[in-house]
This record gives sequence, structure tokens and C-alpha cells, in this order.
Amino acid sequence: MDAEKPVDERSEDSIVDEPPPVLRTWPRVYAFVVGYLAVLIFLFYLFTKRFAP
Amino acid sequence: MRPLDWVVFFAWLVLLISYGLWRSRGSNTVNQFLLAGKTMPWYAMGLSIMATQAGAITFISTPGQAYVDGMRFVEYYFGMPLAMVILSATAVPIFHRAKVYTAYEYLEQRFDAKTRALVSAIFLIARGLSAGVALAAPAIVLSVIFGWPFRVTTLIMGAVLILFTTLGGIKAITWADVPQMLVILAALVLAFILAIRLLPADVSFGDALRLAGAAGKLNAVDLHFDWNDRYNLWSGLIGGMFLALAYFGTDQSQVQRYLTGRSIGQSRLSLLFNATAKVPIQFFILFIGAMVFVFFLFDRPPLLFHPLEMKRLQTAAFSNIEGRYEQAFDQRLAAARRLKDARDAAAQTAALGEFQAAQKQIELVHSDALKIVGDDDTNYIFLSFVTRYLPAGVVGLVLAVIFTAAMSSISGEINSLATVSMVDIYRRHFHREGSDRHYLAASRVATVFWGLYAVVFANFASSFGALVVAVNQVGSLFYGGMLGVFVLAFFVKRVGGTAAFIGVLAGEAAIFAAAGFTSIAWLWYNVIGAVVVVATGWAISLLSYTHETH
Repeated sequence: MDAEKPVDERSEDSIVDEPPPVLRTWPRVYAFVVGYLAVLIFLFYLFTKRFAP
Repeated sequence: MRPLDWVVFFAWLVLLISYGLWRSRGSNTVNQFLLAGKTMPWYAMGLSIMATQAGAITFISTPGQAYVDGMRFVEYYFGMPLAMVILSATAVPIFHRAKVYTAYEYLEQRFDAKTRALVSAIFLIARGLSAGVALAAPAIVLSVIFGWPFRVTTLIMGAVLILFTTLGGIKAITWADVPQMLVILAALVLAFILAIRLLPADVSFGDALRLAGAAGKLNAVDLHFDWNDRYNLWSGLIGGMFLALAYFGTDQSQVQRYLTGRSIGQSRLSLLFNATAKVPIQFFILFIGAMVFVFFLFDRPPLLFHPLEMKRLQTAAFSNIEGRYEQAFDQRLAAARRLKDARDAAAQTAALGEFQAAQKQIELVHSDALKIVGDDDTNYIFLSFVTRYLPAGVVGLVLAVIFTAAMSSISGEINSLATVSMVDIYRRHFHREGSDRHYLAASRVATVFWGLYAVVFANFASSFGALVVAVNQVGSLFYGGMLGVFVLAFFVKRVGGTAAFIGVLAGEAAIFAAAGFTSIAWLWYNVIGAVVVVATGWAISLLSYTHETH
């Protein structure tokens, strides 16, 4: 291995940026994750309120 | 441990190690040893990232944290999904396209050699320190449970993990984490079911929720903002996001996991899988702790959960404090039953006040007992429940999982430490023209070195209290500076190497000043460090640009 030789000379496979399954684009997946987090926090908040002393 | 527990313990250990080594066969190049030949699918990376972060520390400490402090620790993870989205959009494609072994290699492509060397050194210090803590945590607990001397436990764990990591590399670690994480989750579900089933027959799940809530254990979200409060919604979202950005975006022990992905998409999916699964899983683990608390309302727990400290207490002022404890427990039990049976609003209010006063009293006695022995027993709460109440075989499996989870976390850490030592230090500064075989051997030597280092350092780290907090605190002293330099690299085009280098030094100075001279909660150190690095780097580049144009 030469000094500072790039890690992957095998192929360009690892830098292929394929679309995600189901939602088709990455921005849609990101929006889903952020929305999912907001829903989770809201549910945890309701849980906290419901059982607060 | 009963004979069946020992059989299950060793069977799991042998099976997992064999499986990891079998999956890693053919790891005879540097690329295979350090990056698994970039062949890993998203689910293996995702579960491995989860297992590395969960590890034994979380398994041991998290339910105990809920028992003592309630579920608010879950807020600490709220920022993580946001960080995963940001990293999936930025760091993942950048690192993949740069074709690097380490995140710090990219810093030389973007800035210069001195910035790469500085950040690599910061990583080696920070991760080196936490590797010792990460080994000490389960070693202390297992030594107490098994009745082995702490040093013997550390040496056995160290020997197994050094052998495993040196032979198998990243591929063995990642593949072994897949069944590992699945068994951790199964063990947690089993513990939860048993905690509920072991409640007295007249205590329903609804009663358990009401009692845990009355004791303030179901406090998952706190909207109140306080700089000095470790866990609230805001410190979790902002501070937690910065910590997760730094941990998953700049810490080689995590970056290396998703660099093994066979494509950018697979690496992104592994992070986003964690983004969606981590928060509910942590909520569930904390909820188990709250249910264990309810269980111990009706079944008297030991005054101290740490068996050795309990023995020490028995030789000191035991009779007096034990008498106080028995009285406080009986009062709380009676108050819990009254609260459970109270039907109308007036009776509920009266019973609630009585229960909370009794809970405060028992906490006071427990705190007095801890003062006598001078130690914390949070890490022994869940294990005390597991070893006393779970059936034969399951106890052995849980302890084996703790052992192998610790091994998995530390293997990942020493593998990443070895990678940075070899790629960013040895190959870059000392031996630039070696063969692949030479660098593979150097990687293995570095793995052995860091494994031994972790074993030695673990002996000094054994006096920390709640170890999960200790690990994150050590990280927070360094992560802010590392995060800041990557923000400069990704987003501020005009900043050069010298400005970034000075920025990192300024950021680290600001973090140590905040830690030394203020009471700001440690989750904010990452924010402070990153902001100072970016502001300093940007200001210096602006000044030099103005100077050059004049």
C-alpha cells in the first residue's frame, strides 16, 4: 500500500448514492425522521402529564 | 450463579466469538481489517452502531438511573435523530467520496497535516480515556457479581477482547454485534415481563403506572429550561444534538462503522435506523427501571444494592440504620397500598402526600447509608433484580450479554484507536512507503497496544460513580473542538488550515474553562466548543483575507 493511497480502489460501488427504499428520495426520509421525533416527544409529554404526581 | 447460568454464560461467549471470527475470515488486507472491504449492509452497521453505543454501561446503568432519578434521562437522546439526519446529508457522502480510512484523513485533504495531527491526537486522548472507563464499568460490576477480584475480571475481559479484535478486525466486531444487540433487546423484554408478572396479584399494570408516576419516576419530558440542569427537553434537543453530531460525525469509533458500508445509501440507512429506534428503546429501558422501582415497593430491596458495600455497612453502624430502613420501608409499603386503593379525589390527595413523604424518608435513609460507605449503588440496582428474581439460565444469559456487550464496545474503541494510530500517525508521519502486509501487522500491533492500555487505565477509572455519565463527560471535554473543525471543513469554504488549527485550540480552551470555572451542565460543553472553534476559525480567516486584500 502506498502512502496515503485511497482506501477503495476496488470500484466506485461505495460512492454510489442510490435512492432510499419506500420514500424514494432522501429529503423525504429526513422529513419523516424529524416528524417521527416530534410525534414521539409529544407522546412522551402526554405520558409525563398523565402520570405526573 | 447456578450451574445452568455458568453453562449459558460460557456457551454464549464461545458462540458469539466463534460467529464473529467466522464472519471475518479472509480479513487479510488493511482494507478488510479496518473497513471490512466496504461490504457491510445497513442492518449490520445499524445494529453494530446501536450495540457499541448501548454497550454494557447502558445496560447496567440506565434502568438504575430511572429507579433513582426517573425517566428524564431519555431527553438526552432527543437530539440524536436530528444529528443523524444532518450527518446522513453531509458527513456520510463526504467521507465516502473522500475514500478515507479515518475522518481525520479527510481533514488533511480539506485543511493541512497539522490540523489532521491535532484532531487525531485529541481523539486518541479522549477515546483512550473512555476506553478505560468503558472496560472498568462492567468489570467492576461483574467482579462483584462473580465474587472475583476486580483486576482478575479486567484481565480476563481484556485478554478476550484483545484476542478477538486482533484476529477479526472490524468485520468480526460488526457481525458479532448483530446477534448481540438482538439478544440484548430480548433480555430486556424478558426482564420487563418478569418485573410486571412478579408484582403482587392485586397490583395491576395501571396501579404500577400510577405508583411510579406518584414517585416522580415517569418524568420523561421536562419543558423547564435551566443551563445547570443536565436533563430537560432543551438540553436534550440542543446539547444532545451537538453531542450526537460530534460522537457520530467525528469520533472514529462510530465513523469507522458506517465507512464499512457498501454504498452511501447503506451507510445512511444504518444511521437513520438508529435515529428511529434509539429513542423508543431508551424509553423502554428506563421504563423497565421505573417498573423495577414499583416491584421493590412491595418486595423489600436491600438497603444498598452493592453487595460488598452492604457487607461493609453491616460491620459499621448497621443496626441503627437498618432499623430506620425497616421502619421507612413499612411506612412506604402501607402508603403505597393506600394510594393504590384510594378511589375518590380527597382520599387520593391524602394518600399521595403520605406516599411522597414516605418515599422521601426512605431516600434519606438510603442516602445516609451511601454516606457511610462512601459509594454509589445505582449500577447494581437492575443487576440485583436480575440475579435475585430471574430464572436459572436467564441470569447467566444476561451476565454473558453484559460481558460481550462490554467486549463489543471496547473492541470497537480499540479498533478505531488502532486505525487512527496506524493511518493518521504511523503511516502519515513515520513510515510512508510500507507494504499492505506491513500496515496490516502495524494495525494488529496497535490493537494489542490499545487493548493493554485500556486494561491498565481501567484500574484507575474504577472509582467513578455512575459510569455512563462519566464516559459522556470525558467525551464532552473533547467533542466540541472536534465537531467545530468538521463544521468548518464542511460548511465554511474560505477557512484554511492555520485558522482551523487555532480554532480547535481556542475551542478546547473554552471547554476546559467552562468545566473548571462554571457550573454549566456538561451537555452544553459540545455546543460551547463547536461555536468557539467556528467563530475563531471564521474570524481569523476573515482577518487574513482583509489583510491580504489591503
